[in-house]
This record gives sequence, C-alpha cells and structure tokens, in this order.
Amino acid sequence: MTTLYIDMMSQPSRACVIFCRVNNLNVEEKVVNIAKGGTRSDEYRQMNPLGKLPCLQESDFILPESASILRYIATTKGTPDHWYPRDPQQCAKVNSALDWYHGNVRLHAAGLSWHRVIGKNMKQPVSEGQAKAHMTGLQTTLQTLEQYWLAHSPFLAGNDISVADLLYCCELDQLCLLDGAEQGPTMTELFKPFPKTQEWMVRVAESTEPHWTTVSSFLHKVAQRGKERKLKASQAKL
Amino acid sequence: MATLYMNFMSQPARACVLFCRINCLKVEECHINVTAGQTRSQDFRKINPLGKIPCLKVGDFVLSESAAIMRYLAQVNQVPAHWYPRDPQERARVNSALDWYHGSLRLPAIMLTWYVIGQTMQPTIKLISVTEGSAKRQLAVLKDTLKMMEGFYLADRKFVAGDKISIADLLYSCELDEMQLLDGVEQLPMFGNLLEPFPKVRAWMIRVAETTEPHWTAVTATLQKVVKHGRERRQQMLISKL
Repeated sequence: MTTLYIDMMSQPSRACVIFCRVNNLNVEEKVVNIAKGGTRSDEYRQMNPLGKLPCLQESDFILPESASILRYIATTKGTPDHWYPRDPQQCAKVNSALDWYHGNVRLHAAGLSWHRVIGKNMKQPVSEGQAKAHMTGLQTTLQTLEQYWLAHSPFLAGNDISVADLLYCCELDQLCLLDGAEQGPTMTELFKPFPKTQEWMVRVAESTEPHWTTVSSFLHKVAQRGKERKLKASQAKL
Repeated sequence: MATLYMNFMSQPARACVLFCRINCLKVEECHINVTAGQTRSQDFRKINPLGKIPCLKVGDFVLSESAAIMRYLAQVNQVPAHWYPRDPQERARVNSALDWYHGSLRLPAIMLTWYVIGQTMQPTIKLISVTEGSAKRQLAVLKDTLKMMEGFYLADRKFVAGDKISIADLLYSCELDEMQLLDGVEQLPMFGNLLEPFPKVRAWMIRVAETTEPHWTAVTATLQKVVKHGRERRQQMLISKL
C-alpha cells in the first residue's frame, strides 16, 4: 500500500494529492495537522526524521520531498508520459523546472505568505523586512515565469502539463491568503502585470478539475475568512 | 558536442565539471566570468536567457540547473549506475537528497558566499548584498542542515543517498567545500570549527574527495587559492589588532 502523509494547507502536499487523484491512483491519504504540531510528534519524526510534509511511505520505504514523490509516483504507477516524460531532453526540461522551483517559487511565495499572513496568525516571529525581500524576489520570479518559462509554451516544459506545473500552481495559489493581509498587494494586484502566468494558472486548474477545486477548497475557505476579517476590521475603523 | 558553461568559483558548476571529468564525458568546458558580469552579457543571455551557470548546451537544447544537468548527462551517457541509479527507490533517494539541497544547503551557503564576497572583494558589478544579520541567520540554518546530515543522511550510510557515491554527493560536497570562504571574515566561524561537531560529515567530505581524485584537487584548485588569500587576510587583521 502506498501512503501519502499530507496537510491540505501545505502547497506541495496539494500537488501530490491532485496528481494521485487525477490519475485515479490507489494511494492512501493520511492527514497530519501541521498547525497542531502533527509533524513535530515523536510518532511522525520516527517515520520521517526530516519532519516535513508531504511524505510517501511504501512499507519500509520512506520518501520525503514533493518533487521526488511526484517523480517516483509518475515512474512507478504508469501515469501518462507527459507528467514526467521518458524522453531524456523532455524529462530534463521538467527536472530543470522542478529544481528552479525551490529557490524561486517556493522560497518567495511561501516566505511572503508566512511573514504577512500565516506566521502572523500563528503568533510566530515575523519580519516585515523579510516580507519585503520576498516580495521583490516573488516579482522577479513572476517576471521570469512570464518572460522565460511561459514565453513560448502553454506549460512550463512544453505543450503538455507536467508535475512541475502542478507544484508551481499549488504554491502560487497559496498567495490567495494575501487578500487577508494587513497590507497589500492582493493576489489579483500581484498577478496583474503577468497575463501569460494568469492564463497558465487557469489552464492548469482546468486540466485537473474537478480535483483542483476539491483539493484547494480548504485553502480557499481560509483565504475567504481572512478577507472577511480584513473587511470587518476596515469597516470598524470608519 | 556538448558545452558546459561554468566557473570554478561556482559550487554547482564544480559539481557538473567533476561529474563530466570523472566519467570522461565529451563535454567542452566554457569558462564564464561571473564577477565581471559575463552572465549578464547579451551574448550569454542569447544562450541562456536565465543568465545563470552552470548551463549545458547540446545543439539547440539548452539546460539550466545543475541537478537537472547531471541527471540528464547520467541518463544519456554510459556512466556507472550508482551516479543516478536505475532502480526507482534508489533513484528516488538521490532525487530526494537533490531536492532537499536547495532550501537546506544551497540557500544558506550562497547567502554566506555573497556575504564574504561583499566583505572582502571590490566586485566590479553590483552583486547581491547580504547584511551581517542575514548572514548570522543563514549560519544558524547551515548548522541545522549539518545536524540533519550528521543525524539522518549520513547516520548509517557512507554517502548521502546510500552506500555508493551519487550525483547528490557531488552537489552537496562542492557546496559545503565553498564554506571554507568563511575563514576570510572575522565575523564568522572558521570552517574547521563549523564542522567540528560533525565527525560523520567530515569523514564523508574526505571520502567524496578521495573517491573523485585526481579531479577533486584539480577542480577545487581555484577555490583553494581564494580560501588561502582569505585566511592570510584574516590573520593579518587579527595581528594588526594586537
């Protein structure tokens, strides 16, 4: 049995869940609640000493890191080739995107969400200085997506969707939480200068329905609550 | 003919060069001067619009990202399987180590590298500036990474993804080796002191170097020269304060 340990508020967890559901894979989903300390429990740390989500388990085999989980599932469960192509050059393009993700998309999108929203809500130490640095980094990342990765193709690695598109879009979708942050920009404002990127995000969501909507629903509920709280707070000030 | 755009002071570029030389791959090395701004030149941007090294070019096919480059070269050339195993679970372990590298080792190491460069060189182009506060934060991240390498990745294995060397070991060791640059600034601990609490990590670094000789010494020669100057500079500064 293949088990996937996940949390629906975790961007890379969502990418793995959507991938499994889109391909009707027989993978058991086990929810671990990060906010309630689930990844810090002795039980979880014994299974995955890195203490992060998502994590894949197949009897004794434990695999952390979402990009590797996606590659492994694509390679071993017979999913359509476009997700993680066998052709070496096509595969290399997907790998290149999966590598670029960590220091660019993940670092800045997750960093910004943390310092402006999630970290604040969890009463953890946050820094507006670091939030600003991540904002700058994120804008550079979005420019590069617009002018390089998506300049000449509908998806990151070419004409077909791959695991890289899933990982990127789940990460960027988390920015909907910005709509509840004390200061701007909102997600819409952030993406306004990048039409190709916006179209691509819609394309990826549409290619993975109905799973995209189902898997993102908890995140979107949290984002909506944040937006309503912000609206009430600004009305109270009037 | 494949061309690898590289620079000996770039950690991920060294890993790719090592991989090519050890396996006698027909890959031409093209040196790009980063601190002189060559990665920002129009000529280089025509080849790689991302403006980064290392970068591999094979005909019209251009590939960025060191881990992707090494995976590709391992797949299209006849190299020993341990570099990037064919067994799905063994390969997944190498991939997982390659992924963990970015946030846990590359990020703190490159930030510390930029900090040292900012403190010790007068670069001709505007490079990324890192404050002392940021450098100290990244040092703390690096220490956590070393703890994880000691207690998990190398706890009961000779190499980071198993008992045989893989492309992940090349990337990790080239990155960590660059941290000898810390010896050049007084605000940061000496590399030897940083690694002192981690005997398995130290033993593994020696093991990787020995396994990849004579190429390890050849490929790290430029770094070693820079490190030597840095150490002399630090010593002179300490003496001048006596």
